[in-house]
Amino acid sequence: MNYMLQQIISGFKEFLMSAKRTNIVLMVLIVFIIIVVPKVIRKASMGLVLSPYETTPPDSTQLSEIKASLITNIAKQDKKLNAKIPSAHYLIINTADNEFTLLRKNEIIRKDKCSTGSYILLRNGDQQEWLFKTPKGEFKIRGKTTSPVWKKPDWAFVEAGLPVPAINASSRYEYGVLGDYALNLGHGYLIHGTLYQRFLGLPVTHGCIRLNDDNLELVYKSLDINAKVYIF
Amino acid sequence: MIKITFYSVGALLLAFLIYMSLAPVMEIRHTNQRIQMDSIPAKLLPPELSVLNRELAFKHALLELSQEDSMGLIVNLNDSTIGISIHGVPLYYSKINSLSIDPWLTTLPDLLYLYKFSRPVLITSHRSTIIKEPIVVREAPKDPVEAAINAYLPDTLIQNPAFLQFDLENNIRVLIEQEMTTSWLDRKTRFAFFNSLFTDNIKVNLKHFITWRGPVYRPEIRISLPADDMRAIYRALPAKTSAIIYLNKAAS
Repeated sequence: MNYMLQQIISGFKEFLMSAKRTNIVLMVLIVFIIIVVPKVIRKASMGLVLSPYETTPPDSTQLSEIKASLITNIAKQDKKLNAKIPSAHYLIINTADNEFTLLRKNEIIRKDKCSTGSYILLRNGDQQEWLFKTPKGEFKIRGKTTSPVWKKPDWAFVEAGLPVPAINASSRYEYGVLGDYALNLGHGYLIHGTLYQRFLGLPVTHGCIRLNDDNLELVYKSLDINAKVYIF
Repeated sequence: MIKITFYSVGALLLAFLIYMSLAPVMEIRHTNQRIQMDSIPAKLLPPELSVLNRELAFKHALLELSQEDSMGLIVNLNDSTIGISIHGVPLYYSKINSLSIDPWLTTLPDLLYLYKFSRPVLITSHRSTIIKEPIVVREAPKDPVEAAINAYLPDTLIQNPAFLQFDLENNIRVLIEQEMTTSWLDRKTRFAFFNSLFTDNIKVNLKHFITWRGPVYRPEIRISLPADDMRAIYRALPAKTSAIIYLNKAAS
């Protein structure tokens, strides 16, 4: 045992004395320099370039005046920002999560599921195509209807594999599919009810926004003409 | 010969690393030069009022953003929230799960901070691992029978792991990543995403190093959000949009 220990120690001593030691120490030094030197240079040069920005503090009277002025300005900006939020009821539609939120100022009146555009691109050969998506942005309620009737556009027939009838054909009119109320957002987009309540919360529509009966009634009664609807 | 090569490579590597370490300093100098060109008042802002000054700059930026016609991105590092708004109306906010701010930003003096962040800045470019509009193409059926067979059932879209990069006009980069899971696909996508950022950075700086130009530096803010929130925010933003960042010294 003692002999073995002696052999190990003498071997280690030999190694330290050899040329290999110099190389290993050199490599460790190089790695140290590569890691540490750039950091030291960065810190020192950042300190130098930022030193002109160090200021001596103003006297307390000046400081109080500037502080009061800042607080007043912040309050003014807050007031202006608050004025941007509609004071009447407005609606926010989240098309990614298929949720709607009915608000009044900052108060949430109701938040629940809805259905929005499916992002299906329906192609009818090379002639026609329709993209079923709900547009994003700020809209206004342009009209309100009770017991709305759906006048089916061409895509409704193309999607069902049916021939497209004349513009005013009676087959274009469907009753009861849009629920009890409809709110018009313009450009053919509506907020309306649905027979397919089980699909609420999913992106299944052709661009319109579908709500269940209860929510539709609340939204219809809460939003006036020109009320804001924000869709994202 | 081998030793000479080894030492030469080592010296070049050290020179490159020192060059890269000076990149944040160069960015400060560039910003400083732009301020002087715009003639911002010489009187510097007292550090005691830094919090109030930055808050006022944020409110001012919000008001300016409300004048724009499209949705804007609001990154509030003070409250750890990220959200969108249009015409001053906040539409959606998500709580940031984890946050990493470049030390360059946290050590920025007030004068430079106000120059960079007191107004909305354009998102000049963006990169994403998720689709903005998940369009599904369907051919019109020939008859009602075919239509009935292909009757639309909502697809459960396969969602890619979500990683976003926004490069702002004021040379700030905002990186948004989803909360990490143990999924191999998530980890692989994350590695590929950040690895490409790293290699692009090295390539650009190597090119500048060889051609004797100054290093390029883009301070980064890394944010982690739930994947669904990320998708909602990304899909809401239009192609050309502005962003506001709010970083108070108290938050950093």
